[in-house]
Amino acid sequence: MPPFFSNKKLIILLASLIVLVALVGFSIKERKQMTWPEQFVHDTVGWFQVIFNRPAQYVAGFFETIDDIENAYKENKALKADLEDYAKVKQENKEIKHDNQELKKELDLLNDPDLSAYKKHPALVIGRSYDKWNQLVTVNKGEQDGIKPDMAVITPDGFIGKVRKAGQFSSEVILMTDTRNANQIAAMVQGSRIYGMIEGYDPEKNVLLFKKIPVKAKIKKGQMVVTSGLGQIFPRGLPIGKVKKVTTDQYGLTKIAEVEPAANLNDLTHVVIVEREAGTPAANNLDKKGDKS
Amino acid sequence: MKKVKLFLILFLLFIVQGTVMTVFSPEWFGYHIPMIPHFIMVTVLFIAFFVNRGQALKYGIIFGFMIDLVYTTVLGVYAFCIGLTAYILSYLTKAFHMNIYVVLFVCMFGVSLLELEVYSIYSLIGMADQSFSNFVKWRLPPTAILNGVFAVIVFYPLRRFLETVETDSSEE
Repeated sequence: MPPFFSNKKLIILLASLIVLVALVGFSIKERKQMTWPEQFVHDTVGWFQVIFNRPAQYVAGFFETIDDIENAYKENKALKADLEDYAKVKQENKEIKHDNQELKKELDLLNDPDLSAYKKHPALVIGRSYDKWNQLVTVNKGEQDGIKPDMAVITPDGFIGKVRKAGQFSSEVILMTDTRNANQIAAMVQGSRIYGMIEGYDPEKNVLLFKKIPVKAKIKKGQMVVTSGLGQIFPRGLPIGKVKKVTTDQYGLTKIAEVEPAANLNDLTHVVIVEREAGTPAANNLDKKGDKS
Repeated sequence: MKKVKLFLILFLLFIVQGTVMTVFSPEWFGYHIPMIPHFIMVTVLFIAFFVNRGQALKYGIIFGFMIDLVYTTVLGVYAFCIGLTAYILSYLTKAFHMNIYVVLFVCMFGVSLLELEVYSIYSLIGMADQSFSNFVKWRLPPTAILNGVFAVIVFYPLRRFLETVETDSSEE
């Protein structure tokens, strides 16, 4: 039996360690654009991923449907009760929208960008990183469909993450449960105007940390947290989650709220990529790099 | 021809790891058990046992790098770890006769070793914030079991196939 690590092998091991460190350093830098080999691999693999993922999702969806049938009667009852209010709410909504438009006209605000306006790009999830360290999802829309890095990604239930890199025909979405703080989201409490930042995620409790809330703010359990649109990347009003618990930070200067995500991040098939219509800094002045939202 | 087939098998597993296995993961059904499929690692170990070390290293690095590109944000970690694990464990072929029990055990050990290496590198760069005891308690056992089951299922067909690859490459 030859010696376990001869001199030559030791040198190769050390050299590959150096290459590893260089590669890690290279990829930790936040790059927005994919290099062409990356794009090539992503798009080729993406094509195969569609073939495998669609049948799997259909089968999984079938089992879910069986589950759903059991609940259908109960749900139907609840939905019917909701529906009675729906017509009324719709009329009210129309009236309020009209009033709002009129008032804006009087104030000469009509041409100002609307923070909550956005365009939707529906997309399919075609792959997902399987080790739990990376919270990445691949979707089947890319630059050819108008997807750009930093766009918000939502499901009907709420916000789930943002586009990290866009390839030609597929793009990589980083979920807000990624622990590396890559997703700092400017957020606010719906209704009351309490602003703060979503920073970080606690995987053991499954909560997002809503930080930098003024210490005097009256924030309560059960309130809805939405994006504020002030980070200049995401539109306003995308639901993020419900407040679960409120504490003060270690210095007692600001409050920290634990927010339970509204969207189920384990069960992703159809997502919507959201393009904000009000200008983003990246679009307004191309030479300046946009702030992280 | 056999090499192309081997490449296709590995590519298939690479796709399955990120699509079918994430759809049918325990999380999808609402259980929080982290079962991580490392089928590429298991197959590369099979190559190391039944073909030779150089081939295992080659495929380990190629597919490790593809995993890095497609499923992670940091390049090089899986390429390095899969290559290193397969290389170290390939020395066991000299000490043991590779029957199904030994292979099962070594595959579970290899996957745990890979998980440990990736965990330590990711902890260094701040991507993994699970505590070590939680990692060992909650993440390693289900992962090892899942990949052990995979190793047992593919053992006979894959061994037969790989032995033909070996004769193929020795004739060249």
